[in-house]
Amino acid sequence: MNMTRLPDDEQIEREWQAQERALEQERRGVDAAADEVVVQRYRLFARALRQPPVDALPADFARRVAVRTAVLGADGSVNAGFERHLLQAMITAFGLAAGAVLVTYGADGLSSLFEVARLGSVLGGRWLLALLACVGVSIAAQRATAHRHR
Amino acid sequence: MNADRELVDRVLANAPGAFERLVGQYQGLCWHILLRLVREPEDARELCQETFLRVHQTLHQYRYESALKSWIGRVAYSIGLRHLERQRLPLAESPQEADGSSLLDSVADGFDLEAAWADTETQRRVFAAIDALPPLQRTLLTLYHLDELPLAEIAEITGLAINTIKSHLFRTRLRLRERLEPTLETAA
Repeated sequence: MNMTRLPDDEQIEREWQAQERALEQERRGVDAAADEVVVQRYRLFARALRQPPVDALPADFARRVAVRTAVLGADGSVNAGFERHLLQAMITAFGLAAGAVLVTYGADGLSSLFEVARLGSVLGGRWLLALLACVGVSIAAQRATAHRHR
Repeated sequence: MNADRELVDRVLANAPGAFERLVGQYQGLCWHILLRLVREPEDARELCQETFLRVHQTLHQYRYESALKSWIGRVAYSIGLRHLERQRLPLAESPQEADGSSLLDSVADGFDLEAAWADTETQRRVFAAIDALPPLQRTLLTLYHLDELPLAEIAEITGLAINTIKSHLFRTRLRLRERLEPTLETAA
């Protein structure tokens, strides 16, 4: 059985006012000397509660989150726009690398490249067939799965 | 509200730097809500990030019915609550525990606030008592005292009625005083 004395409305109101006054006085930074003792006691908690937490978010939190949302689309998956930009960057890098090879090795480099390509076409006939077979099997499997889900 | 609208429009139009500005503006509030709810800084950091990813995904649903601050605070609060549910941690104390506070009749004279605050042991006990509060009470006190949010805004964030919030604030502050009365008597 709860033996706690139940306070009446007036007492509750007085206590609430003391709590609110403590909050207000702390916000305004008013000298505590003139406050009632009960208000001063509540001011101790009000002061502690106004202290920012010791732990904090990283200084670059906002930038990091913004970068992440640029990578992720509205549904949380990787953004198609981001993928496109990445692909463009890779193609540009590849083009620059090819240009650098041309400038460095000149015509000699090109002719050896063609030599390798010719050799590749002779050896690559069978491999090309194998590659096409793999792609065919993969497409067929994909269609079969989609058909089953319908 | 106009500033909210301008910022939201810029974010939805993918204007450079707009979302970073939005995060910078409201990360403090979300951090306070989540840290007070879940207590563990590492968890709070992850949930804070999740909050802003959610805000980014759902910002087009924001209808300006409340301040943007309250809307974002509400997202953070919901994510924090879900985390507590997953961890099976209670949000608030049981009603029996909540009923235990009684008003203190009188206090000794001559309490010196500045001397009590300067005393490291008293300060440590005050912070420990605040930290030991249930997640809901800790969060409400922080929003009211540290973030200086009016009761109506706290109600929008938490979905609680204003009178319920007032009752929590009153009882929690009273209970802090009760628990620390012996320490405060010594400090006096």
